[in-house]
Amino acid sequence: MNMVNRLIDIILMHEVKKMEILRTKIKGIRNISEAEIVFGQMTALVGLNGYGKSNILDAIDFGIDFINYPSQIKSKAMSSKSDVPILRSNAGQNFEFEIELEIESGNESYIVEYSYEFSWSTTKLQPKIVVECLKIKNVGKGQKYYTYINRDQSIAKYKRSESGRCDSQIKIDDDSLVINKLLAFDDLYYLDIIKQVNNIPFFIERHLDASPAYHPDPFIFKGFEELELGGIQNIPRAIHYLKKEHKDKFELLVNSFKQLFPRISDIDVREHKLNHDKNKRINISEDAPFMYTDSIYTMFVSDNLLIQPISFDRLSDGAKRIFLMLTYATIADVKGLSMIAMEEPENSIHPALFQSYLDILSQLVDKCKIIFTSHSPYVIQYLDPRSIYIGITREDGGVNFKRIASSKVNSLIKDATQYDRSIGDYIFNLLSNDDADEALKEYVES
Amino acid sequence: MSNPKSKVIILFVEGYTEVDFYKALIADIRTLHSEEFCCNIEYINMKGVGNYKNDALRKLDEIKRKHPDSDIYAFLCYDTDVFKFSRKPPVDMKAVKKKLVENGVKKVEFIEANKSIEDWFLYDFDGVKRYLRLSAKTPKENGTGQEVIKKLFKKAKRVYVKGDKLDGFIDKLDIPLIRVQVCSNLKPLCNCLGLDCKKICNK
Repeated sequence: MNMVNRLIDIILMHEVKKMEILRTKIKGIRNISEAEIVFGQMTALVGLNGYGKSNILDAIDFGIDFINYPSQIKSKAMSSKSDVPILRSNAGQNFEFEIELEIESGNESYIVEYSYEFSWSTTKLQPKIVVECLKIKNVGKGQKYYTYINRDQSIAKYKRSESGRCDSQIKIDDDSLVINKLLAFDDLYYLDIIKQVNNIPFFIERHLDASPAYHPDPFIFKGFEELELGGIQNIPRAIHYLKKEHKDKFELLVNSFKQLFPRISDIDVREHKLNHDKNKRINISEDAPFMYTDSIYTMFVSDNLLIQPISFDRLSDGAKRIFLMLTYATIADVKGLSMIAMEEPENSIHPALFQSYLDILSQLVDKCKIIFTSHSPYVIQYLDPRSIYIGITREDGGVNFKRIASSKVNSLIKDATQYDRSIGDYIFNLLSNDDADEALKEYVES
Repeated sequence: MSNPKSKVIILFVEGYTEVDFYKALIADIRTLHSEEFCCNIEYINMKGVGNYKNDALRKLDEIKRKHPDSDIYAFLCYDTDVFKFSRKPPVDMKAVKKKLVENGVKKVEFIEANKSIEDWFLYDFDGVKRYLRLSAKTPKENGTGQEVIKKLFKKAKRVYVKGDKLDGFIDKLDIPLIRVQVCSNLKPLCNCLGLDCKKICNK
């Protein structure tokens, strides 16, 4: 789905309960044999080009989206040529996805562990979901995990009553998930949790060039028409909506941007009614996904050194990208997103801003986790080392992303200090050496 | 008999807000002292992306060129708590001190903010609220100084970014009130300035 539309979709969706994503584990997709990410507030993936940092983000995206797909789309996804494992070492491996969440339901807090596994389509075999499991524990009551869904091949069972076991059989197709089917069970006592697992709010951002997101655009996707603010397809539209419906958050966003760019004294967003004669509009086919909207939106900034406001479009690429990221973080907070993923947030941005930029992003989001790829030692030096995952090649040529071990943080800091380097410099320097893997293994979890 | 060397005091601080704070503090102390301080004071903002130790030495060279034939005294001002997004590894202040002395600084001392400079600002909680235009009734929430100040800023629809410029913030704080609270931390500075501690803090 188009990124901006995905963003708008998130803005327009109903308020969701705040969910915290704690951990995810992925196996058998693209070049990933196995990857487990335990999320800090900010988590960074570092590694050489081609190691598969973006694949990790895509795999999380794939794993979460797959839960929501209708069966027909699930079948297509399980046959996706661009996602099927392609390494000599992982070809033929099933896709496995596991996610651990903290969910509020009623007045209780639960840790939810949900996983599924499917076999990819091959020339000989149809794709098939083979394993599915849902475990829940009540945090407040200090419970152990109880199993709510248990599926192995074609036999699927679920927990029907609070006192019962997970032994009620449910008929399920090879391209369907029990977690989707249970949505129809209105009297299920944990239906709210099922609903939340079916709607994990997550956003992946890939605007390495932010400029197109600011261009006024009179076209909107159909389907948004009946919604009051449907069809917003660019950042000025989203900002206009925020200003109108979430004024406090709009002010926080603008003030955050001004904090990073003190010369900017104000940001304004304006609505321009198109007032065009409906009979004179360009003819658009009824089959087209787009339609005209009645308004376009533009943003302006006032700069202390300029004699008049200028279009936001004329700001530097870095400034526009920062504003875009801050907007996502603001919306993430408004809509209770569990996670935002970003590609290289440092792109086009001066290193002197990184520390403040990270600090501000962390203040704009609440429980929402931020995961990003990075090629910047300057960014990495400001993070908690335990939130840094480093791509390390295995003997078979694959890459594993390993987290810096808590027990090794002190030795990493000591070694970086010894060579008068930041941990960012130190890690990236090691990554550049021929013996990178051996050296880095000293610091990561085994 | 030759003239005594002039004295230069360098305050190495971590951010614009700290520069403003120490300038206000020195200005406040001057009002208590009838005589002019017989020294130059240089405020150096060390917030940056580079290596603290090397940057401090570079700044020292600039000051030596600016004040030749002066005795230089340096104060390294820092928080005892580690800021969440601080550069890692943390600065080894003892190593910085050693390098500064090796490079001609007559004396290097530390001014430690317990636990952070934000805890100092919060000694004037009312002043912080005034700056943010928050109601006087706004309560002080639990947490570290940095957490409390961030929550206050968020209530005012703003973000607090450690070390970043905050126009007018320090002007709104009751510096004498804070000075008295942090008197013991400032003692090395007051001694270097040749001030009578009892007179400055009434302690």
